[in-house]
Amino acid sequence: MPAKILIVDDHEVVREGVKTLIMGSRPEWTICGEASNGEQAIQAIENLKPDVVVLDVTMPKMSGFDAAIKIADLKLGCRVLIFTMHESDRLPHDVRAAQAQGFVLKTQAARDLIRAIECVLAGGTFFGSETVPV
Amino acid sequence: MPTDSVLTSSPARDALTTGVQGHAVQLYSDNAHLMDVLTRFVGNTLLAGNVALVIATLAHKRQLERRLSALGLAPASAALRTRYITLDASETLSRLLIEGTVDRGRFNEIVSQVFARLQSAVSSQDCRVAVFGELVALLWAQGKPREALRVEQFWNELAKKQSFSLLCAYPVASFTHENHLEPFLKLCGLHSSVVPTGSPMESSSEEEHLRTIAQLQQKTEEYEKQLALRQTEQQFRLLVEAVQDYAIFMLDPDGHVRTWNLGAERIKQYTATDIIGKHFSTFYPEEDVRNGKPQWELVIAAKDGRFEDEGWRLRKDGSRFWANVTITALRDKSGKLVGFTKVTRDFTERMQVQRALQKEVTERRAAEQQLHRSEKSLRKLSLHLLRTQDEERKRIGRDLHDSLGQYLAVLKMKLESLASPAGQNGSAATELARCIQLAEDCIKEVRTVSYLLYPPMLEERGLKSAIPWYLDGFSARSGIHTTFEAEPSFGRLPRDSELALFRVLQESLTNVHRHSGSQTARVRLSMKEGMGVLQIEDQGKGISSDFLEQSGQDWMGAPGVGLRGMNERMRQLGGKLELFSDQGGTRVSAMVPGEPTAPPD
Repeated sequence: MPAKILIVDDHEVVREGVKTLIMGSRPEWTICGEASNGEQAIQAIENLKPDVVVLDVTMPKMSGFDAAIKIADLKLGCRVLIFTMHESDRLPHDVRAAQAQGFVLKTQAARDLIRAIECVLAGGTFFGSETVPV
Repeated sequence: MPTDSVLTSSPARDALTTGVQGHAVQLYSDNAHLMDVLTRFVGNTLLAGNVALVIATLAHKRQLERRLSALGLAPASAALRTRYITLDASETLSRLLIEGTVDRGRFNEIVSQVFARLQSAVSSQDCRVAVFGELVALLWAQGKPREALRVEQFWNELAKKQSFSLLCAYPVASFTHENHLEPFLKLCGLHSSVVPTGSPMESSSEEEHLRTIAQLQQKTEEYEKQLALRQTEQQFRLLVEAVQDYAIFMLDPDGHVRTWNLGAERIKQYTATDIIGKHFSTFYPEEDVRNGKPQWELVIAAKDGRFEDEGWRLRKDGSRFWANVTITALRDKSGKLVGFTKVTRDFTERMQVQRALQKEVTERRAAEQQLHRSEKSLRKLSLHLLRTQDEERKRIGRDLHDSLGQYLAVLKMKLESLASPAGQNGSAATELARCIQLAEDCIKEVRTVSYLLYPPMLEERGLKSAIPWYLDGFSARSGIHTTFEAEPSFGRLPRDSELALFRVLQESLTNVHRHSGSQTARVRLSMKEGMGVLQIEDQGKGISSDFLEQSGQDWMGAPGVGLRGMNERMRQLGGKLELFSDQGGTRVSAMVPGEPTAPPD
């Protein structure tokens, strides 16, 4: 199943790593674009209409959570996966509040990211290791 | 003194009209008048069938008898019948005096004998005795008013036992001396009536008599007032003279000392003989005299009535004392200036106590203010330090998370991909090379963060190596071009000093970057008078002078937020921090001792 994916992170090394990971696992998916902050992400979504956005939280200009809310407001059907280093008990709550469909910890990217993308593409959510199928 | 009763009682009126009752005194200015009165007094007595004793001078006796004879009263025959007895006043007086004092016993003896003789001559119990005496006038004339008064007293004592009318006579001329005033008033008090000079007995009108009495009364009152005033003045003078705590003295209108009291002697050390007649400017220090202060004080006192001053004055030995001075102008009834009174108190001790107190208060207030300032600045400082610490932690935290964390996350991601069978399809060699690169980036990042926390180079190789390393990083991060010069002779400093200077460098460059707008910064290391000196100079806009003035001595507090803390650190090490700023830029100079020193208290 083909899919268009947008990668948003202010660190180039992270974007590069994610790209390598996805392309290595699911060659049928397309990395349609990259952005290094929230504002760029909104613009890219409007232009590229990706299926899934992998969205970093800590970024200059606009944080991942703020961007997620705006993305939901666009109502383009774009699925959002929060991609963060910040592991905390509050994280699931914050993610839901931002109307994102799930999150993946950067430290668990190799294990979770592909599964998570698949899950949200199928219309489900991904909160940590627990997947909620449709 | 019962003056009223003496003068207005009915015996007085009797004496004036019908003859003499009680104990009357006749004051006379001319002899003829006395003779008139005396002739009537004795004449009436004899005519009424009463008896008379006359103690008179020989001259008066002769005149009286001539007049009585002229009236047909035959004194010689009366004398024979002992109805009329005369004693020579001088002779009687000499019999009464023992060692210049009138003897009471002899007086009573002589008078009683005569009274007995007179009374034996008459059969009737109603017979009255009239006595005229001049003993007192003689005593008075001899300058013995006290003795005269005693004689009057003896007569009064006798009058309590025996009934008689007594008339005394004093020539008014006797009362010329002012010392006679008091005895005169006593004398009046000893008599039941006082008959004034003039011829009141010849006056027919009652009104005239009363007028005379009133005149006399007025005169007596004036005497009394004068006496009282004199007594008061005397007492006051004694009081003033005895005062020890105040120098009280009088000046003439020109400022010469007229009187002197004990206090003046005690305070100023001059005796009355030393100083009376001298000008009071003697008491003033030379500079005051030169400035005309003494004279000026008199002018003010004369104009305003009073002048008060506190200041240094001189004692006789030249030593100074702090004087409280009041000068009061003295004017007579017509308003003419007759002099000044000057009251001086020695306030040296009080002044010293007051000054000491004042000094203490001032010092305490200054200390309080200093303490307040210190507390305030300490609060600011600790707040700043806390804030700086927080910022530092935040920065380090962010550095660790943002760079190192991300690198490590990606590294892990790649390694996991390589480990999974699914990931084997890519180019493993390329991915491994990426992983090695990431690990190297991590190592570099760790070094950067830890070096910023505490550059190991600083400890290992000193400022001269650590500074250029830091400047490289700073320039790379900020884009500000930096230059560094170090004196070749500049060696190692104590560890604490090197670290402190390094912190000044970091803080100053942060300020250059944040506030100055300068694109360049120059850093110099040198040794000056045994101190290691670090200078950081920029070519920015400088710190506004408003700002410097506003923050006063707290200038360290704001522009170089952290400079204040640095200054504190410099001081702890026995060094200092200087800030120079103008429109051409800012220069921070930090100095620390080249050798370790004990920190100041």
